[in-house]
Amino acid sequence: MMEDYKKKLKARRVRSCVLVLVAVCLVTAHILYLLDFARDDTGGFNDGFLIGFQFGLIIAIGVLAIIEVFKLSRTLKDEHKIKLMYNEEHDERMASIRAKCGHPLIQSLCMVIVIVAIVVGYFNFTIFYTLVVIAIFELFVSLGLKLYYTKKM
Amino acid sequence: MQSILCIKTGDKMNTKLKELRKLHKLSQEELAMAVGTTRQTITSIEVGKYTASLVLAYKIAHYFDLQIEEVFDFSDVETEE
Repeated sequence: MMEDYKKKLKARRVRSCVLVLVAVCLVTAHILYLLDFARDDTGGFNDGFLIGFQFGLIIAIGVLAIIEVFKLSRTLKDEHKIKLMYNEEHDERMASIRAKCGHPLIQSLCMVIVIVAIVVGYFNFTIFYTLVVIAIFELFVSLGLKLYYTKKM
Repeated sequence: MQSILCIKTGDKMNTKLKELRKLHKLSQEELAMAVGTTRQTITSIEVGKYTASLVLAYKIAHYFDLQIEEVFDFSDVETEE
């Protein structure tokens, strides 16, 4: 069982490494685009905001992936830490809390909303802002519920 | 095994887990590792905030070589809908 879990962790680390590489490529492409955008100087505030939002999102995903890679690498070196992580991920109380705060549905929904918001942002900024606010609100509600149930249970 | 009585306190799930743990000189962390859960869950069960599932209750009881009803008092739970 633990050997299977170890394989899962290794696969997760590979996925995170790929995500870091994708983020680095996207950041590089974005920087080149930003240099071009700044030189052109025809875009308004909204265009700049959309590009900035995308840039920030990519950096955030990249940083989170790097943290995940380091965390998994450290865990995989120590059997005790692997067991601890296994227990944390398979803990019935945490599973119950996660279910009560809408995980993983809300997180998946937020991801879809943000992707849709970015696409829509090229056509209508009002919808873009609305969708981003909805995604942030959903995440805050989920976080609030998680904190509440963690204290309650 | 020494018998310890459960004390009923309001709506809390009564358990003698803490007493058993102290009897066996175990920390919450050690017990959690032994039964495959987290220290926080053991704490919640001990203070009555969380009711353990049948599987976890069995694992805990089995660890102490006892029956489930010797560790947990389900008398309040039975009356619930």
